[in-house]
Amino acid sequence: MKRSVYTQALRDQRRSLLIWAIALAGVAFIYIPSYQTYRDQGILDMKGNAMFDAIGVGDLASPVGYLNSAVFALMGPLLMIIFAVSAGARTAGQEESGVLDLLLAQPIGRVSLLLQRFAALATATALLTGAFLLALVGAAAAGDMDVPAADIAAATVGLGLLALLFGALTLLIGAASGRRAIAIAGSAVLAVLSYFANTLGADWLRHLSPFYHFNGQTPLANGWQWSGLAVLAGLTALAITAGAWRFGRRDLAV
Amino acid sequence: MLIAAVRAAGLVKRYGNRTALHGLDIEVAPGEVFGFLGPNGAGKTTTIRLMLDLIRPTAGTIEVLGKDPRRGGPQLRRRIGYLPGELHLEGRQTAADLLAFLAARRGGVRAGRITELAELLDLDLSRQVRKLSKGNKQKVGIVQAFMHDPALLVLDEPTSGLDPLLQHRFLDLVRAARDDGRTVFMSSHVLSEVQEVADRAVIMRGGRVLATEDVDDLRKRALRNVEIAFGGPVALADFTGLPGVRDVSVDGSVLRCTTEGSADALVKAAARHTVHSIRSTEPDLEEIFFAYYGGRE
Repeated sequence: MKRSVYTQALRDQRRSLLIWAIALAGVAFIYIPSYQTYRDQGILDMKGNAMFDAIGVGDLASPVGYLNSAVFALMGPLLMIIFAVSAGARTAGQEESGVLDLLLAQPIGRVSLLLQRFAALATATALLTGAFLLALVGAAAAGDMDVPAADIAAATVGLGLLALLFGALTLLIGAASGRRAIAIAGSAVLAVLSYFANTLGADWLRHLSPFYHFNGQTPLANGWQWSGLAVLAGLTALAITAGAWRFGRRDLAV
Repeated sequence: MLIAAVRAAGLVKRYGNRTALHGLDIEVAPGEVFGFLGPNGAGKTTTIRLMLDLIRPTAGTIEVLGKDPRRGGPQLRRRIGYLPGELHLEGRQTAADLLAFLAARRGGVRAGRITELAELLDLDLSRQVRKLSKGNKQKVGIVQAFMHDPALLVLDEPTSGLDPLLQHRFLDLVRAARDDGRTVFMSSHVLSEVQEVADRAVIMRGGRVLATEDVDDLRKRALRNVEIAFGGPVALADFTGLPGVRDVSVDGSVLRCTTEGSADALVKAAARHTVHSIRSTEPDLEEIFFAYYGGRE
């Protein structure tokens, strides 16, 4: 197969992708199978804590509540977003180091480079999401948790799209600024703000947060939330379009 | 009419309030080896990056192979071989891997060409690029610039990091490209390497062209710093006023001076004493500028 910027970017990422997949599977198998033990010990019955309710971990006693709190409320988004942001920051990092000068002096267009880099990010995120999903379904089965695999899939796909959105935002900020640190810091700030807007914000504010569109309707209990997924995908497309537009127009690595 | 390989007219580049290029005018004929000389910060890399559409002009125009770099896009860059001044390579991929990837992007690299160039430059293609020394990275850069035999070679400080033997082999590559009818645009802050291969040279300073020179003229005027160690003390008076010799100083038995053009008078004057050693070095570009153009500003 003829190598492209896309396949090359995936090749460069295969090692880190494997490590991330192992780490996420580890998270699934460390937290989930212990559910039965915790429940039998009765330490999960702590309803009525407003703080826990607010950050989405108020219900730990039911299988869905436990799985949601352990994986989807914080730990899963945190790890997946870190993965996507660090992968998305690579292009800006290469611009700073000068690697991009050599690449863009080849017969490669800037917009094409950015889109292929995004396609590689999307593929890597999809692969990682798939691996995480398999681990979650396996861990839920190992822990005798009665949560349908289809609902776990609905929540995990949302998680993948949430991570991809922040990866795309990193790519956008990097494409506009050419600075890796700004790209990472900018999208990290956006992620933290979105997280708190969803957990602590008023209703109208929650609806502005990507976290709401990922988990606000609790897909783990209610199945696929297509409108939420569409919002995440749409925002991602917007970020990439804006990034490509800006990247094609400015001076590189000044 | 022949289309110029590179033509810049009134080319200005500003970064904020700093002006890197103040209205550059140059024209490089096809098939010419063109030296682009100047100290660091003269605007050489800025000009080259404008040619590759990595940055865009603030004012003025630039044409490469008859096309505006921005409009020419990937199609134009296919016909250019570029060696960045600050070459960075990363990753676990081997040199062979990276070059195969770049060749696939470029197209037009004939089978065996990469190995041929790697052998010429003594480059081990099986090593990971991130583990290569600076000199070896530079070789990878040279291979990728030459491998598709482009119509125009744009080389930014091509010999930096190469040892003298490899500098020679590199200059042979440049001569071979010229004999093939290709145009070579090469920046440098070392006069001697440009003297060896270039037909014409532009001398830059502070974003302006200081002079366009026929390289043969430069060669004839060749400036040298000379240091002669004698067997015993010598008198300053024996060496002052010699044709082509200036800035003479004597420190006991050591004489220091600068020669311009022929060193004949100096050598004949020195021959009257016992000579232990003679050292002749090329002054750096700043010094040459000062000697040639110091009075003009």
